[in-house]
Amino acid sequence: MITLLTRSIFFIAVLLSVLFFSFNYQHIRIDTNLNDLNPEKIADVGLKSALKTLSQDISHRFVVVVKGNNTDQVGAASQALQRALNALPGLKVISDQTVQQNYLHALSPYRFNLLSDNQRQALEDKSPQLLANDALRKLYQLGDGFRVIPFEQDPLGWFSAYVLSQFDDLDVASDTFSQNRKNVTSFVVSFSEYPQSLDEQESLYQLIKARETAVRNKFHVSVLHSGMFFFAVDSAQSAKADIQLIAVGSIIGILLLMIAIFRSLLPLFLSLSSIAIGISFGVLSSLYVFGSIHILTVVFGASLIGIVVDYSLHYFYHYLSHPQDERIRGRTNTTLFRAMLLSVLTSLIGYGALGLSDLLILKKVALFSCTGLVMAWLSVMVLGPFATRRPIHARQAALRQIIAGCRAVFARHPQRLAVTGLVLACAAGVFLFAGQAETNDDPRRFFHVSPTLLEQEQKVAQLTQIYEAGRYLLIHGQTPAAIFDSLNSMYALLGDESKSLSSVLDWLPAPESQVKNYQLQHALYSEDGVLDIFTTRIGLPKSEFTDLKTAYKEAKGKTLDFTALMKQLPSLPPLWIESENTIYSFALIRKDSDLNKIAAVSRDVDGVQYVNTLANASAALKAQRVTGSQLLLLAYVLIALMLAGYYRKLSTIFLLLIPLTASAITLTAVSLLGQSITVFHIMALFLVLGLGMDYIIFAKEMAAQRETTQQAIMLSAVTSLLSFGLLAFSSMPIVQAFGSTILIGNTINFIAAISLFNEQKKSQERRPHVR
Amino acid sequence: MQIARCYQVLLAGLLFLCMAVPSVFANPKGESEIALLTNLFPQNCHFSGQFLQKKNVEGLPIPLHSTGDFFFSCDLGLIWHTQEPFREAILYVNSSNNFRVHEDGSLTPLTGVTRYIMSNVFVKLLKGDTQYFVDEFAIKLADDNTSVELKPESDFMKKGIDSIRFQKNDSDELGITLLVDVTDVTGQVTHVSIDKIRAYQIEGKRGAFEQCEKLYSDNSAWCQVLRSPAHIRR
Repeated sequence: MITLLTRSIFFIAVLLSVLFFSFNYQHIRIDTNLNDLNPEKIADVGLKSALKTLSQDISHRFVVVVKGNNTDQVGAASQALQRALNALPGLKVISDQTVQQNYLHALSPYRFNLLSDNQRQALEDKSPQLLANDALRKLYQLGDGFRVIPFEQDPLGWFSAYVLSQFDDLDVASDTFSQNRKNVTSFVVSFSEYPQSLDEQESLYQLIKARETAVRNKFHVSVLHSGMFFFAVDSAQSAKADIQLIAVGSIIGILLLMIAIFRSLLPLFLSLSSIAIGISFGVLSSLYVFGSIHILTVVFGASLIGIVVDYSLHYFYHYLSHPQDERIRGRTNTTLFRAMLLSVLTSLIGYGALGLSDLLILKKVALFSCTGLVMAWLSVMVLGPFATRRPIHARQAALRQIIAGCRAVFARHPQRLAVTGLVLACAAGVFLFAGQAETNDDPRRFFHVSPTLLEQEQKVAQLTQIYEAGRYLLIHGQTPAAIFDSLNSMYALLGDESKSLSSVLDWLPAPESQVKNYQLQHALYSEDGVLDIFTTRIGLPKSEFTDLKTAYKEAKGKTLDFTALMKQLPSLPPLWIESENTIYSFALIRKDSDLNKIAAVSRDVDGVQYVNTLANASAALKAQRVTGSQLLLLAYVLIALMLAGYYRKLSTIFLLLIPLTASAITLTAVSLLGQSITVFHIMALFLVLGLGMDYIIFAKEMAAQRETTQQAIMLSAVTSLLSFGLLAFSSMPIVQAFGSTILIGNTINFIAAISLFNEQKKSQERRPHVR
Repeated sequence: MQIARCYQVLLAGLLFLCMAVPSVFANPKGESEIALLTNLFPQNCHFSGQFLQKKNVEGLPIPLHSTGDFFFSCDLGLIWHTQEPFREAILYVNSSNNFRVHEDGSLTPLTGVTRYIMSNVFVKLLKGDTQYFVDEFAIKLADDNTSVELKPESDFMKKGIDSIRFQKNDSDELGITLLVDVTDVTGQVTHVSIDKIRAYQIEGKRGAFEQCEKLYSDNSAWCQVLRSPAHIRR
């Protein structure tokens, strides 16, 4: 059944993976990006890439707020904290001064292309004499006439006035100092190098915390922070605790179980080897396909231990259930292979179905689990014969007693049990279809976030956030002109409400506008123009600013594009992204804006789309939940066809009533226990189906050795329930949903499997090695 | 943004020193910072004078001279009236109503860059908010023992102002004069000389308004603006 070639490939693969883990373990990247929970419904590759860039940029920044009773203390504390954070590896404080300097530096060479609305109006309405007078007046005025570049480069002060008005309008500074909250200051910190490993993240988080605490104590101020990084670290901490609980709990449980039953190291070795090989290949395949392994994949993957160990148990029980002479003659090989194959196939269908979801995290779990299962199964099939070379003994007396106890409770009246199950399932069905079960598609409720962190986040948002969270306009077009045209149309249609938007237009005029501005400024720098009049009135020769006039002439036809501006302003959010020959731009919406109007107007402008990320994510997750339910039904139909085809008996389809009943009762139970039904509950039902069918097929296939089979099923169920039961105690709602669904569903599967298959013809079992 | 704010602060610093003239005369030898500052604040609520301003702009080979007069009243606000080389007035009323008067008499509300003055420094100054200035500046007698020097202490102020220095002179010919030098971070120096200062003993807003009308009889509308700024807004 397992050919020499398969064995060779298996051993080479194991050897290669051992080498990989020996030399590359430090390069294994554990991903903590929470965006993997957002449904992937974007077909546009360019847009997907643009959104990824935006999301990554947001993830790679955090805001720090310093609050205190005294302005000086707050200022000093902020400066000290900025210095301390800047000194940390991989962190860079974005100072408002740097942003302003970079912005000024980027604009300065293109100053002849830049005009504010008022300046444009003045150039159109006023005579050169009046304009020269205005410039002169400003130069004399108390507190006016400030130049942001050397006077000889901007004697009329037009560029300086433009830049200062931009600084006033733009939120270029991270400092939120204002009259209403003079004791609050904030700044943005970006990651110049994002810590990849969990340890690095945790270490940096502790360093940040230490710096904050030091400043807090020294200056008697309060320090708050907000950013995806902190949520990622918090989630990773929860996930690490879950992983430890599940992995350690499962392994200890399995160790105890295997030693208690077999009292031999060989079966234990096979079980642990299959677990190690399965998990290793799960990790390798994840690294190969996704470049990293997601922390939630590890959490879900840890539960695989309980499934993987089933193959060893099935193998040994198969061995124990057949007489030695049959094994020697190899008669049992076909039966074993068939049972094992069916067993792995049902699990693969269950886990593989997760890959049908649009949630990236479920795809990752599916890949990890399926590759892990295949390799674990293969390891049992290849290594099993080595483990059974020496006689294996099982202590089945205790198991028999437990099963007898279970059967005494459940299997005394199998028909009554079946009818009760069906009645309960019908009642559950009515409960579910009547809409009594509460559902949840809000991704924010998928996580458990520390209350302290959440409180900080809300406080920081109140103090610093001036834009609507998760709502923005997406503008796309083939050329810069198309983007600016769309934005201009949007602004025009919005009228006064356009002040609610913050877009690239606030940073830089469109190339066409720059050309027009340049032409308008001809009035300033032409012969006998405004500059000449100004120069004469001030008492200087006209030749004083010849270089400036030359610079104006040389600037003709040169425009600044947003990509070039962003290169000089790396701290700027990626409001302009070019991908797959398309330009994507984002316009932020200020708080308390008329969102309905903005959304309505966006529908009338080509290339503009109003995006509400939370609503979109919720809608997509709802769609996932509904589609998942439909796919689950499809899986039932496919397995029904497989059963009918395999056994050539239509009545075998009724076997599916077991996982179906388990699923209906489970959903109702978790709902009554206070959980809202999410896409994760639905996806877990695929495993309830897979595992349920695993037991049923095993029970049916090995019907000739009913007692031994029931013991194998019981051990299998115990290990699965141990793993998934531990998941149910996770602090993360999504993991909890997954675990509790499988825990309840699989318990029902198990009860049905050991209680409803007693009418089979009992054959005389021979158990030569059973004591 | 902060460059603009700081320059507004610079302007406010100048204005602040103008307001401080009478108190400096009252106590020129204050020893401590607080004492110096307290003495800088107006003790008389209504006064007028003339100013001569010389601005040295970095990169401009010639200095810019301007002259004019001013009137300050605690009850009304400030008129800063430039006469040469062009005519213009700025009317500082309160934190939300301030105007520029153009040569043709038209009024433009001061917005944008001047907002900070209106809302923060200027209002604090008029209210005599000693603590604010103690927080923002280090105030001491300069090395020459005749000038008082203000150095910004906060990083925010340091971005715009290098120093502010003033000196009181008293001569038979010119009477009491105050020289103010403001140096900003770009090296631009503005010298303001204030003289012919005259204090008024006025009771109430009506008295201040009448004094304003006497001083600016040709431009009594300015005084109306100071008295009823909301009316102008409408």
